[in-house]
Amino acid sequence: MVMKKLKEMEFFEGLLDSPRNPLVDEALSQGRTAVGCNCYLVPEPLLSMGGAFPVRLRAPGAGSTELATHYLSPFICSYARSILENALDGAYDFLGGLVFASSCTHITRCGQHFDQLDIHAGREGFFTHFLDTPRKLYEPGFAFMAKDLRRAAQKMAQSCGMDAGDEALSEAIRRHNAFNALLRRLSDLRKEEHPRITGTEFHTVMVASKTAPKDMLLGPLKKLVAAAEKREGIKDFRARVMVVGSIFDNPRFTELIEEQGGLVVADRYCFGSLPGLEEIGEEGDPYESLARHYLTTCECPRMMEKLKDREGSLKRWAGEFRADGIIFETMKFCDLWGYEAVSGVPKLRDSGMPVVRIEREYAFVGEGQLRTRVQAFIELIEGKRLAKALAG
Amino acid sequence: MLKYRGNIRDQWVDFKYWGLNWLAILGLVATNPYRVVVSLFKYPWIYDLLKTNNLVKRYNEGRSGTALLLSNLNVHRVVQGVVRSLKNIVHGTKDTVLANCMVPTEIYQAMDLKYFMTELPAALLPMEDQHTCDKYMDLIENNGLPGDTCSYPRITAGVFAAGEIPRDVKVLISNNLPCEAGMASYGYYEDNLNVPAYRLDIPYNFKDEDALDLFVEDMRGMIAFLEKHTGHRMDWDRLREILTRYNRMNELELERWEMAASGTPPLANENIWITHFWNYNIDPGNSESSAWYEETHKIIRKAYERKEPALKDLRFRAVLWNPPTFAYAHFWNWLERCWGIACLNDMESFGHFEDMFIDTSTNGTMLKGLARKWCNATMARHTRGPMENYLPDLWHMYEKFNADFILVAGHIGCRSSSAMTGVMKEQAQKKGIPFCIFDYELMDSRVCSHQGIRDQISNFMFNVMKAKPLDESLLVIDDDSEW
Repeated sequence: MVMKKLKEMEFFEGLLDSPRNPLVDEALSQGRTAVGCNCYLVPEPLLSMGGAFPVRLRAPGAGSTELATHYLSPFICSYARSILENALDGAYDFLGGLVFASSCTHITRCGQHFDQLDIHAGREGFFTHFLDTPRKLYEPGFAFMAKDLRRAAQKMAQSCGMDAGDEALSEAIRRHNAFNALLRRLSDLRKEEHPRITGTEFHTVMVASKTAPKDMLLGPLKKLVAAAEKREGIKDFRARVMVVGSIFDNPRFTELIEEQGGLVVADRYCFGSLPGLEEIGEEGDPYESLARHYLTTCECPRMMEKLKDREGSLKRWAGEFRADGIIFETMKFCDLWGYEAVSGVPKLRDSGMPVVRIEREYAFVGEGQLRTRVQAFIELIEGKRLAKALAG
Repeated sequence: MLKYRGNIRDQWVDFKYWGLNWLAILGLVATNPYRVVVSLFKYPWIYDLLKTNNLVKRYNEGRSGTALLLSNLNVHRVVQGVVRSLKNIVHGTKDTVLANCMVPTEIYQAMDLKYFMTELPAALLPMEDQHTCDKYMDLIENNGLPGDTCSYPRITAGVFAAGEIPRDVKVLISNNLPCEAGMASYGYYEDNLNVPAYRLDIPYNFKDEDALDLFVEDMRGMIAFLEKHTGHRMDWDRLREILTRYNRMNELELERWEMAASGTPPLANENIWITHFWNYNIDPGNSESSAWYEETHKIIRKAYERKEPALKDLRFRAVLWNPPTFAYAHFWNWLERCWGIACLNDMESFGHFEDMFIDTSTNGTMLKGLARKWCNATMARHTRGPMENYLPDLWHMYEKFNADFILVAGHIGCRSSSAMTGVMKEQAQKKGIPFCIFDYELMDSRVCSHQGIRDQISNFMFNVMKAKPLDESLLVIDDDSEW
């Protein structure tokens, strides 16, 4: 697949090498507070009130996780271990606080070690909060989560000396919605017959948008969207694929898929845009609005009652983005996605959608094996397409 | 065949419960022989439950007196409970509630509902025969489930995939306990069963009052759901009776612990954990459980007053952390005979039950008490929620039972507990507590064999405790292919 690189992408690529990227540095020098978070279920607008901004925890260039494995054991997913290893190495020392969601066992246990091991010792005003995030959709659950979000906001307010009132949050939601509207324009380019943005590029932008202050990304993003909209569509791909799974924050994986001719047009994974770009309701109690929005849109298998909805969402997105096949990537030791695959993969295959299941580690390892499997999968899609054409 | 135990009294106990177990099983057949035969084809795992008397034999090798009697009573109580559960599927399942093992069963009882625990085969079969579930685990792995997930839900999913869990049930009830794998497995069942389902959501920080209130609301939702879909009504007076019985059991349980903590503990090992596991978690609050507690309590009290310890040769007092070895059910017997180790409490049993008495004065207080009880159920109170739920109880248990060391059953499929290993090691070392983490897989002895478990413990006993075995011939036993 040959595509002329957009010069506007360089800015975003430069933000992915370290959790403390140049924009984070710039914001910190302005006296702003970076708040670490670990999951989609920690609402970004909550951490964007006042001068604060969210930094979704990543471990770029993760390698050995010796110390973290001592604490978490080798049977915890390598994302959680890499994050803890990075934390022990001081990679998140710039954070002013942490808001974790009790989203899955791995991430929860990892987050608990931040306090247990006193990783932020000596940092004045540092705060942590664990959100007790419900696993089902019901009215008492929304109210409970809204109350919990208020508690987190109060901790933030005390620590950062900012206003956590309803108006401050409503303003953060409006800004978040405006930013996402722009991202949606970029995302929609992937739906075209000849998409004007590659999966790797979009993945890079998404990861950057979750790890740098959004207000500082707004200008570069506008330029990127404008440039992409003027660009020629991609024609020389072999198949359009959707990637589905858990933590996937390294665009190098997407690039590998695209090197085999599989254009990644849809991204249903943590750090992806499905879900993530929906508009948050701006009416009523903003805390309740956030609780309702994030619980309702969450597509993680941690949500107990939504398996059938999730299967429906995958089929709907596959249709919207015209995906020819699905790469179902699961992190080793992830029970949630392990069971999701047992239920979901056969159903998708029965509906005629080619699916390949790949179990992987967080770090970009096993490249050769991955390449071979993706290559075989693309050939399978092409084979099916040919068989259909011959039959038709 | 029953081996002669050396004295008439022990022999009589052995024979009596051997016979009673068979009678209980035959009692099931007598209710409707045709339906039982049909069920044996539908649910072939029931055959494996016929190995129960062999399990008793393995538990009781070398035991006599009170320990032998208690163990027999213990297993017989479980047999009675299992037979009652089986009746709920053998005689047709159209009115049966298929339920997760950690949903408040007191509510079904109060509503006079038939229920069957989805995990029943997984909970019992590996204890009867270590290899009987291999085929189920292999099947579900072939269907795409990673082989590293906890074998408890994995076996259940395998039995389900084999079509050996009843499917034509009334409703499905589950929750997010005991762990994430267990919770996720219910998505698979729900997806394949065309019946209404209700999922209870136990909050993360369940010690928080708001979270507890949320769970009470959720339980109210479950009751309304059951009333709507089964036509049965909630009988609050019956619930009060059940919870009154539970309160009495709780009182007895705490007294039992006091006796176990004494210098001559009259009960130890599986006589503590299976009792708690069955009567608190699987089959709580019913009249059989309550009567059993009263009966055994008298026996334990007498042994305590006679200063008769559970082990003839008690050399070491230990406590066990993490779930016990289901695929090596008679592991306790080896601990006793080879090393003289008595486990005086364990994670499945231990909790703050002094705070778990339920106020039965109003419907609201009963639900709140039930909510607190189930949030603190086995595997929920320790392996879920904040880190503080996990370790302080271990150190407290170690002190309370005057243990010489801690055995930590390092179940490799348990994410939540394995993620605490490092901190646990550091804290134990700081406190100067000897402890042995032995790696194993809860219900899959192909991952770590019985001998593999024994070797890890023997190494600890030789090298850390500087002990000599009571019986060297038990250090290595060829039992890989035995039940």
